[in-house]
Amino acid sequence: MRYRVPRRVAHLVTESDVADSGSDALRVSLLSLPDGVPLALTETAALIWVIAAEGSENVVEDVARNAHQPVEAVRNDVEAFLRDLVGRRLLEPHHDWDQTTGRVS
Amino acid sequence: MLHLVLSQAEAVAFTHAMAQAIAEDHDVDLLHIKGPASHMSLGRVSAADGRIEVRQSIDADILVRPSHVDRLAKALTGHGWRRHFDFDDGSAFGHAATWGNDKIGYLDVHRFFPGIELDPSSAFELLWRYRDRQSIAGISCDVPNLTAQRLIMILHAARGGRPRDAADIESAWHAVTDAERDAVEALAGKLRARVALYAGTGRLDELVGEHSYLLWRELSSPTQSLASMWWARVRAEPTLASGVRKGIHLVLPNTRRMETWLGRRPTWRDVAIAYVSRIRLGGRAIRAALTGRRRA
Repeated sequence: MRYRVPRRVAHLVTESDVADSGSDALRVSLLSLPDGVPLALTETAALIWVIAAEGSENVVEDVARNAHQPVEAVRNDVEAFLRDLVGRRLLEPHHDWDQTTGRVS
Repeated sequence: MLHLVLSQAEAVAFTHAMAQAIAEDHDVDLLHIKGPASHMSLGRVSAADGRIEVRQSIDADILVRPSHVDRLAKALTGHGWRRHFDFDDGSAFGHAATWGNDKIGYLDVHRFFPGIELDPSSAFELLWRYRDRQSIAGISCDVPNLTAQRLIMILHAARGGRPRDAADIESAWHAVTDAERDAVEALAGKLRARVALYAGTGRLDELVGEHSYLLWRELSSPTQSLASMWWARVRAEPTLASGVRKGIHLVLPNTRRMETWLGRRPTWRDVAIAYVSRIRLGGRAIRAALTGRRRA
């Protein structure tokens, strides 16, 4: 399953330095237009959204690799969070027309 | 994982995005200007870590087709926005109204842009016809083209006199090619914005005698006197009647601004004291201006 950002969801992705850790903190701010409440995702939630929004075909695997975790250790949580994001309309399934099969994937 | 805190930059970007969505839903033509709506070559500053980033804006600015201003106001109200300051409550130009939204930030709705002396409807149509698109917070927004953005930046900076204004004029004028400067100059001609452009680019003395020369000389001066500014604004009005109205308007206190400053509705005593103070100050300014004019 691939995902994309819905047309009416404003989004900002930022990375800021985390003091004394030598790493960057990923942050995703989201707003459903025109009347939504703004919210921000951080840490793993932000990572999941970014990977999904960039059109990954294997979100669970890509999240696991980035988080340095076994795939099966994160699968349930990642899939549950993706369902939550789709339910809140902060992501939507991206159906492609497959030119090879002539079908929507 | 989910929380509601936004940075100022995020709030401003989201305000632009909200305005674009509302405009699309209600067939309002508007152009996003300044801040995150600016082309990447404009309005950028060097951060402490050396990165180039958009200069922080405190609010989102939009320029609206004049005939759509009321429609936008109705739409904003319908979406829970509140008008904090109406057009005449702000600058002496009366060009912008400020709206607020509890969830995001402030939106400055411009009905014209100071420095552009072509009638607002024709000016907007010219800017709209040659507009570009820019992504703000992932939302495609209508913006003036790059030449127009450069001109608008210079017109805005011409009124400022702050170090950031000098930096803006550098990026929009001095740092560009001759051909790009010619394009800005040509657009200023079409928009009747040459006086303000020349004020911003240090050439105002080439336009002595132009109708708004005195006003832009005062606006772009680092040392503005109340008397001179009052007289310049009155003189810049197109008719005697509008000049008289402007002169009175500039002297009288603004009760809506008083409420903001006081943090409460002004009492009758507050307003009376303000009237007396402003009348005295205005009277001195008027006498000084007239005296200076007679001597000149």
